[in-house]
Order: sequence, then C-alpha cells, then structure tokens
Amino acid sequence: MPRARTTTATLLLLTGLALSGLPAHANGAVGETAPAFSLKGVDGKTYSLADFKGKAVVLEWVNPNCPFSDRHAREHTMSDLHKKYGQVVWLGINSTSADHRDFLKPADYQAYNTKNGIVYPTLYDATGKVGHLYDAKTTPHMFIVDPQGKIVYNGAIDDDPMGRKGKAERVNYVDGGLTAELGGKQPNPAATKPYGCSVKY
Amino acid sequence: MRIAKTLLPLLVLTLLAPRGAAAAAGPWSTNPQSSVRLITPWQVAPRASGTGELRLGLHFKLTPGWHVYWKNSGDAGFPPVVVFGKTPGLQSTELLWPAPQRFELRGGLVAFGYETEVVYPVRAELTNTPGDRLHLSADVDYLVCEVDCVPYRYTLTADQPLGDAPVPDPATAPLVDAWWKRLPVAAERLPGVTTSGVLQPGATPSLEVTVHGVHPAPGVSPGLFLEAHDTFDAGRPEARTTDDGVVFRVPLKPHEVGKPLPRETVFAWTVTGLTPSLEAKRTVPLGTVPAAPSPAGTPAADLRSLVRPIPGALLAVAATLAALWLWGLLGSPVSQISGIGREALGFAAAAVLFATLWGLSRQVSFVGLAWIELLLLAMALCAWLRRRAVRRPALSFLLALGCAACALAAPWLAHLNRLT
Repeated sequence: MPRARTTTATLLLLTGLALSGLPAHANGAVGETAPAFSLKGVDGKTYSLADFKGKAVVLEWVNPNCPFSDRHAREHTMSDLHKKYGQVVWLGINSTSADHRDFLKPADYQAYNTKNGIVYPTLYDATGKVGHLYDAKTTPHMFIVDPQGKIVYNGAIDDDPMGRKGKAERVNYVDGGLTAELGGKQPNPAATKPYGCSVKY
Repeated sequence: MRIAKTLLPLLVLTLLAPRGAAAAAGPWSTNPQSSVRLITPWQVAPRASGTGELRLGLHFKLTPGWHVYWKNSGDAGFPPVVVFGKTPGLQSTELLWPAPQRFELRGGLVAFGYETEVVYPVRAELTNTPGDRLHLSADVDYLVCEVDCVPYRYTLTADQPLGDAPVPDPATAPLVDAWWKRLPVAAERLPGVTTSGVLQPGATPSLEVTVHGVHPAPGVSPGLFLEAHDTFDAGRPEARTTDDGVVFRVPLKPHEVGKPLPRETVFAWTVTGLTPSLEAKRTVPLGTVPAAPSPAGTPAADLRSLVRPIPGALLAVAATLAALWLWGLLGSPVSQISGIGREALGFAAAAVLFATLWGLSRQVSFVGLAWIELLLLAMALCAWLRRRAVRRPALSFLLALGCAACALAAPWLAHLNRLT
C-alpha cells in the first residue's frame, strides 16, 4: 500500500511538471473547433452541440440578473435575431455558479424567458466547465459556430455597451456575422471585445 | 443615512465657505453603490485670454467593495464615458486615467479600475470666455461593479465663476492636484528612463515589456496594465526586477488562430508601482524577435539567449545531488572524509545551490523557478525514501528513476520558462 501511494505521488508529480510546460490553449478563439458540450436546459432537456452538426449555431452567455443581459432581453435584441435567422440554432448558456445569488431555478428562469419572449433553449453550466472551455468572460458574450463546427465570431453583441443608441443605429456584430456566414463569407469583424458583467463562475 | 453622511460635510462646506465656493464642485448624484460629481480646483478660475487649460475632475466616492473602471476595464466591465455639452468658452475636454489597480474576480477573471474614491482628471481647454461664469454640463455613463454590476447615467453640472484674480478652492484643489499627480507620465518625459516591447513568437506568444532606468519603490510590486488590443487578449503579467529596471512578461492569446499576423502592431501600456507611474505606446514587430533592446540579434547571441538558463539549472541539480550524496542519501557515504567534514561539504553544496537559484531567478520566470525548486525537493524526497526502502528493490528502482526524471526535468523547465 505505501509503495502504491509513493508510486502514485511520483507519477502525479511528474505529470504535473510535464503539464506545466505545455503551451496554453487558445480557448474560444476564432478559427478553433468549437469545444463539444452536453448541458441540461432550464426546460429539463439535454442539449449537445453535436446535435446541431451541419447548422450554424449562436452561443450566447447570459445571466438575467446582469443589467446588460437583462437590457438585451427586454429590448428583444437576441430573440429578434433568433426569429430573423430561423435556420440558425441559438443557445443561451448560463455559467452562473449554483452558489451565486444570481443563480435562477428552472421555474423562475422559464418565467423570465416567457416574459421576455425568449423561446430558444437556455442551458445550465453551473460548474462553469463549458464557460471556461470557451473562455467566456462577460454576459452577454457571443460566439458564432459555423456548420463545420469552427468558431467564426467571438465577442460583443453590438457596439453600444451602455445602450445609448437606438436599436437601428447600433452595429450588431452577430447580425452582420450571421449574414456573412450564411452568404458563404467570413464575419467581419471576426473578433470584438465583449462587454457586460463578468460571468459569475 | 449614507446619503446624509455624504452630503452633510458638503452642506457644511457650502455654508462656511466664502461666496462662490460651492462653484468648485457640482452637486453629488448618489445611488447605493456610488456618488459622482464634477469638481474644479477653483472658487474663481482664471479667465482665459486666448486659450488656456482648466483642470476639472470627475469625482467618485464608492461604497466599500465596489469599483469603477480604467480605460481598459479588463475581462469585464466598462470604463466611464463622459460627454460635455456645448458650453460657450469651453473648446475641448479630455478624460484622463490615473494609474489603476487590479481586481481579481470569480473564475480567474480580472478587472482594472479604482475603489473607495477616485477623481478622473479632465483636461479642458478654454477660449475667450464671454461673461463671468462657465456653466459646465456633462452626461456621464458609468458602470459600478462588486459581484454584481449596475450601470448609471447622470447629467452632472457645475457653475464655475471666472475672474482676473483666481482663487483656489481649499477643499477641491488638493484633491484635483493629488489625482492629477497619479496620472502616469509619458516615458519620453522621464529623463534616463526607456521602455520598449518585444513580442516573443511561439505557440503561446508573449509580450516582454522592459523598463530601464527606474526602480519600484521599496515594498511595492510593480504592475503592468495593457490597453485593449485588437489582435490579442493579454494574460497575467509576471514582473521581474533587474539591476536597472523591471521586465514584465505577458502571455498573449490571439483573437483568431491560423490567421497571419500583421507585420507590426502597436501596444500601449501603463506601469504602476514606480515613482511616478509611466505610460508608453510602442510599435512592436510581430513574427520575429526584434533586435532591440538586448544585444540579441546575432546567431551567437540568440543561441546564448536560448541556452542561458540550462547551465544554471544543471548546476542546481548537480549541487543538490552533491549535497544528498555527501549527506549519505545517495548510495554509500564517502568513507574517506570524516563525518563532520562530509556534512560541512554538504552545506557548501547547499550554499552553491542557493546561489545558483538566485542566479536562475533572473533567467527564468517566477513560476518556472517555483517548479524547479519543487523538482529539487522531489529529488531529495525520492533519495530519502529510497534510503529507507533498501529492502524493496522495485520501489528503490522506481525512486531512483523518479530522482533521475526530476534531475532531467529541471533544465527542461528552465528552458521552457526562460526570460530572454
């Protein structure tokens, strides 16, 4: 038994040392393959990225208790885009930790979504694992994944963090990105600085 | 209660101060997380003849735990945006950014900004002013965060009397001056100080920022704050003091992988913890290691830079092995030397080890050095355990293997974590 423990400790030490030297992975960067995930929705169903292979997918990091996310929900920024691009899959992902005061239980979450006209699935990522895989930093933080599973956009929803402009005056990067993607072009810009509250990991 | 506490001193000052004193500060706009107002350092500001500078301030007081942001807010948040309304006599305004501090958020995220109290200096340019007063008005949008974030929007005002005999305000003038002094100074304006950037290419590119000619104040850790960049996200900087300055290394994460990088790009940074804090904007070439500022650039210099920490790491390993051997933890003790002599030689080897580690601290990153020290400790542990397991050949062999692996891994880690 002591021998087994020593061997394990030595192997762990060596593995840790070996891993420490590896270069950091560019999580969520444009051009990367979108990390796979399988998460439970607030509706109780399980959703996997692999289920939507062959379709463009928008991932929206969201937190209804963040004023930025909430403003976009009330203004229907995301739900209008979801309607506009019917052929695109839209998934909200909430990486708020279950012990954080912003965490919403399924019934409350569903009521919030219904109130704001959000009909696309919202997924729980309470461990933050998927959020860290994509290096999601803010709510909202947007990603567009092309039908081949590559990330083609990473960043903000628009150019109006404080909501000063009218909806029509804003440059909506995801709208532009989806138009480009569905037209066979690369979104431009492909990366912007996301704004909002920090993800409550 | 909090509002009363905040406003009471202002009310008292207003009542006690001479006529016009209230003009040095506009009214507070207050919410549960913060209070904000416009201030000037003058009860009566000098009337501009031609053009002149008027120093203003955007004054925040923050509830404990809450913060507002620097021009690069970090991973989340948003810096304040101030738009001054058209004011006769006011030609232009510029919001300036005092040296920020770093806030660690949940999930390894970071934010840059200010807590407790901050005055963002505002440089205003005056032209010939009609009348005796400047009616200042500004729309401010800002985000204040703790665990949660709350955005606010106010229209702030201040009524500034003008005169030929200027009168400083005893309450606000020191406040504006103190925060003006906390603005980083352009490196070009500091005699004997130079700063430059080198982009280190590789699977994980990094930016190395060097500051020569200035040292951090005793007991103060220098900090590096990069402005937002359109090609890279910046990771956590590591600082290392040198004989004549500070070197920072910042891992960079490209926004897009597989895309050719531009041949050169501009980085702007602020270095805090120095007296004074400094700022600089430099063009940094991408894709190759630039020649400046080190003597690198020739193949021989590049090779020296590449292998530099390896001899040091090998010497550290050799000194550790020598000490272990002399202390009888590796194989048979030396019979020709007396016990006391052996132990003394072991301590001498340990002294060589410590000197070598000190030397290595200037050649490899702090994290790299920590791993090397852990490896050396693991070597010692393996040797000690092996001595106690002489009757178990398999375990003894495994521990010897572990010892050898640690010895080989130390120079490898030194190479991986080298600072060039």
